[in-house]
Amino acid sequence: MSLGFTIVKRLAHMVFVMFGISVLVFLIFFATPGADPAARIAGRNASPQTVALIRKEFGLDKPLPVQYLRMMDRLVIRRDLTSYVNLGEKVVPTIFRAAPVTLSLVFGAAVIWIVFSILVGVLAAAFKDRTLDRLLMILSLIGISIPVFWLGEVVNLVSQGLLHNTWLFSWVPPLGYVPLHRDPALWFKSLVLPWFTLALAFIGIYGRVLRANIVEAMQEDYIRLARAKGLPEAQVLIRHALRCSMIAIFTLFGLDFGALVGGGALLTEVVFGLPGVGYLTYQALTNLDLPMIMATVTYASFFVVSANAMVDILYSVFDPRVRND
Amino acid sequence: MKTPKIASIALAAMSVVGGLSAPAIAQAAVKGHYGGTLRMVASAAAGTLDPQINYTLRFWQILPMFYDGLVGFEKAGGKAAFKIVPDLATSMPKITNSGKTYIFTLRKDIKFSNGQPVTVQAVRHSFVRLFKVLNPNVGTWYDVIAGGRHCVKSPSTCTLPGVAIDPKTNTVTFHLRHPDAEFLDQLAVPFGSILPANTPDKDMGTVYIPGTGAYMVKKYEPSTEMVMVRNPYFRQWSKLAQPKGYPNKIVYRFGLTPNAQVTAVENNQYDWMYNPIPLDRLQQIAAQYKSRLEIHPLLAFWYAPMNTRMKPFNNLDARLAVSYAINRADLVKLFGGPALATPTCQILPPGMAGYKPYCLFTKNPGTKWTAPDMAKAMMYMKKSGMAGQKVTIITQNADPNHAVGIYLQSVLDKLGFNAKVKGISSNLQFTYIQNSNNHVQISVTVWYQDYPAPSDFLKVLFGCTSFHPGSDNSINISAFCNDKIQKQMDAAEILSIKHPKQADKMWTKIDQQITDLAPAAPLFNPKHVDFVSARLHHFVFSGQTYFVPDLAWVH
Amino acid sequence: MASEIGAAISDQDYARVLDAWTAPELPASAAQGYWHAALAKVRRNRAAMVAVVALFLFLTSCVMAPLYAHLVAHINPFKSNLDGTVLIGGKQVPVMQSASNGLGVTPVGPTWRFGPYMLGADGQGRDVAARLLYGGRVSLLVGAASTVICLSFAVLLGIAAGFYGGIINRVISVMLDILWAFPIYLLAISLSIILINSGIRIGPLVVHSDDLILPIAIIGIIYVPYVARPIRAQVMTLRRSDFVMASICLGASDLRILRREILPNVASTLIVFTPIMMALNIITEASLSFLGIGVQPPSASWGTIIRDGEHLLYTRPLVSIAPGLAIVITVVALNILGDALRDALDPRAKLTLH
Repeated sequence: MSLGFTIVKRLAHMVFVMFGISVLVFLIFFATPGADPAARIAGRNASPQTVALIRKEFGLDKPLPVQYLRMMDRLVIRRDLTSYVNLGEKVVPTIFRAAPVTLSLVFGAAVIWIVFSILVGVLAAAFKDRTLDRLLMILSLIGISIPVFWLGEVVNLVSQGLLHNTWLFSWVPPLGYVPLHRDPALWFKSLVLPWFTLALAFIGIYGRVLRANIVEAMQEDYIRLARAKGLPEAQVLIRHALRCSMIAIFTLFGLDFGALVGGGALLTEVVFGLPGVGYLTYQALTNLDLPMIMATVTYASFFVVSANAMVDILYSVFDPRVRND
Repeated sequence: MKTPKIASIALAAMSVVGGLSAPAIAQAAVKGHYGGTLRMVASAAAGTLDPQINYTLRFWQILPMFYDGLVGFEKAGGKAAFKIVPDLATSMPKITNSGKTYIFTLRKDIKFSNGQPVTVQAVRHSFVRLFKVLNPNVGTWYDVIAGGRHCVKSPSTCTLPGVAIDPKTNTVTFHLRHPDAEFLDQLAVPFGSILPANTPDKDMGTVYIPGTGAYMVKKYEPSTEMVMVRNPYFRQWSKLAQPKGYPNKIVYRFGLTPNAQVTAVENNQYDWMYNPIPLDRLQQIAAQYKSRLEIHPLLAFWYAPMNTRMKPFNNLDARLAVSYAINRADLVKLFGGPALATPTCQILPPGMAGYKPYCLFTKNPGTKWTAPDMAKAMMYMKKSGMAGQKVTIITQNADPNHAVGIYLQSVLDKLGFNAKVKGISSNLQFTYIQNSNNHVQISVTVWYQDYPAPSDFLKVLFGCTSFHPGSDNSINISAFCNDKIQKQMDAAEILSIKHPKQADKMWTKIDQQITDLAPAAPLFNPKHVDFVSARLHHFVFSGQTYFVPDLAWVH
Repeated sequence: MASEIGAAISDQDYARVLDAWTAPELPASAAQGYWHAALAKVRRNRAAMVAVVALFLFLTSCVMAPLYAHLVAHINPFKSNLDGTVLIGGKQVPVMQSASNGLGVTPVGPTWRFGPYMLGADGQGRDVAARLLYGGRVSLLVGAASTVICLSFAVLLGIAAGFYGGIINRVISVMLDILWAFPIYLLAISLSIILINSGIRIGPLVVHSDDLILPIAIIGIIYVPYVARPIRAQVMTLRRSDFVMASICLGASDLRILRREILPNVASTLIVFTPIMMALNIITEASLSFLGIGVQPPSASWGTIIRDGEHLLYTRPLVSIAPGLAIVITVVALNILGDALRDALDPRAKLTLH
């Protein structure tokens, strides 16, 4: 089978998965008691007649498949779907307004976790089985094991509370997001702590994977050849072993980045009060705002599923065995 | 807390005296307060900006800056806030036909923020629009207008003959189906806003509808912010109903967690925060910035509605047992201490017309709650024969509502029930507990007044007419219906039009009768805490709309 | 959606996808010696032994929670105690102390003595130390039970997809992909409300609303793709391997091949996954509970205690910090154990700790 066919097949699969997710979400919503959008739109103390009229006006009296199609039409094709909670608020632009927040958070964190994990991986591999290696690996393991929301709370406690009035954290601005174009310095300052909080677990994971890959690569023939040519050990490690080991990291990175941009950084956004896509998703879910839920879920699943698809396609480029499934 | 009040009196005096004779320095001081930008912050926006649809405290606080009704609540602190004053009408209406006809004369030369004049046609259109946009309360409030019943059933063919206009005399006449003591209140809330005659008959959502208020909305994005500026066509016609307002610009930012809001106000990055201050922060704030805290009682009460049509609380003795056993001082602790809440054992809150201190569910019954009476509670419990019954308490999954539920669980267990607590999403709980299909036995909730009338508590929460089986909109959560009391409430409402004093006495009795039957356990009356920036002065707290943003000084 | 919570697994996962293609191919006869050698290797790993001891200590102390509450704390940690007092330094001190200006109420702080309120009280005046132990029971139970569910489903789906391939594989992979990108929070919110209302009835099985089965089931199911995919890949490779081909040629039945050739190989993967998944599930439980949609009161878990302490973060930070530390220690121990098992069972181990 050709690569082109694999890609087409994968894309069809992707669309099908997104369809499945949206249908499931839709059905779960309508199975939830107390979620009746008509009563919620009508407001407290509304008479039953008013609720019935609203149900009709919003098309909530139609059969579910019809409602589903109408909603998806307004979401994907006409893009004028509006929220049930903040009536009149168009959901698609709202997501696009939240996206820069999430992108700022995830990009910054990604830079940090790539730089630090390379540092950790290379140092640990270079000092394999010595104290520094063991220390770094233990720290990585701890980093992986800390719940991100709890870490965020502790960071807030220290930086906003206990030590806020000392030189160490007096620069920390209040929680929340400042757009980059409004004040670049403040943007940076308000994101530094969220970046590190989000990045910590990834530094641990990537550092460990990288170390393992480098250690393995150092046994390969081409490294022996490089050494035989008399290249210095540091150069062998960085120029040859690291470069080769980065491939595994990048597939990993694709998946994680896709999921985070799609709203996976929800906990970090909630704890630090960053109004990104994850926060929006969380709010829509707790408000049971169906149009917003459908929009954020479609958005998130797009990123997750396409990152998946991309990694799979890359795999099939590297390893033709997978294509024969 | 005291200084702003004095300042406001001084200010009022000054405006009476006028610019001529007032000392130059004082005048300069007053003038100096105009201008600047007031920065407000909340965790989220509150939905549509349409004044005829939005039914949230959060926006009822700001909508009066943009819109006027024929009458309005006075923008002031203290008791005056509950006083209804003429707004777009020249004076209070002439009421004839034994309370069934209201005649208003419209002010002349008032313009909407788009330059259109306010006409009697606009007034008529606004009231028809209420029905066409499916205002939440058309079926409960506004159907009293002649023709309103038809409009509720069929909004598309609504003509509302009960609102008659005469462009020549510039008058608007309302014909009611029956006398209604709260009709003026219902005209004074934001639902009664007068909008331009060409306003579309649909929920305008985030789009600002031109209004007559001192401010207009320049930008509204629910996920980020609202920007309000001065209305260029505004000129002050009634300082009481629609004052000019001090700030030149008001920015309302959405999306900060309460904790972040506290920090931001503490650091003077915002002037005022909407959300309640998290309790652990409150202590620190109270210690450090006492002068920047504003504490005011609310016309509201926390209560635990008990379903009078379901086991075990269909048994009066079981309900009484719960009411006697609750230690309200413990609940006050959960709510943040005695400065933030006062125990109560009756339905009407202090300050409401008809309120007379009454406490049965305490040791030494009288006017004040002192301590729980466990002996009496156990006696009633034994009499009820409900020991061992399973009870599920439905709360929100966030504190303090949830904490109150946990506490109630320990009380119910002590009485001999087999209780458990279920917390559900804060946004769902209120509709969930109303629907009789969900078979909720007991829950925890809070009721804030819409307008200062006793019926808003007694008749709305415990009247037969506000119970709708199987509906998410059934505000009589206890499913309580007592024909005798219902008749008294209907009579008191009619009586209050002509003889408000006598009616208040009746409401006092009704309050006690309902309380005695314990369809709900009253818990405590909350107080409202506002935390403001160091530069905000002249904080005015209206019992009706709480903090009045347009009266604050930030310049 | 799951990525942030699931971060801890994504390395093992995809490293394993690569790994699995070159997984050890064991003929059944060699199995006995292999397991023995592996066990010996784990025993020699000092870090792993420390982790095992730590986990054992945590487990026993959590199991003894009722004893602690009864004999040491002298209080029921599930009842609010707003008007109680506690003896500190010879004086009776109220558990909940109102501020003198009436603004704010502070629960009593840690006494640091082996007795009532060793770690202080929470916002309901309940003993934090006793709640921590009870919470540990729930957190460990939810973590373990959801791991069993997750691995069972993963094995079933992974083997079915990998062994039979074709249409079965395709259907399962769509299911896994949907699950992978599904918003678990919506599932958690909706299910918790539906269950409050009526409970769920699946045939003879009735699930009541207050059962822990709800968070267990949700957490157990959401990570199935993480495990099922590598198993599928491993089974696929095994299916094509020489010794399975030989068995097929010799006329062995599918069932026999599964039992004799496939399962023993999959088993080692599962053993490595067990502590890692449990670590991940404990973190997930805490995250869901922190958002108010995991374990529901009256049950307490480490996650719900962190949430309870959120309102006390500035005055009594220990209420949130203690359960967080408990989670970190448990999860680190489980991850160390996972590493050790991996080293022992997989000759081509990449992630080592020594």
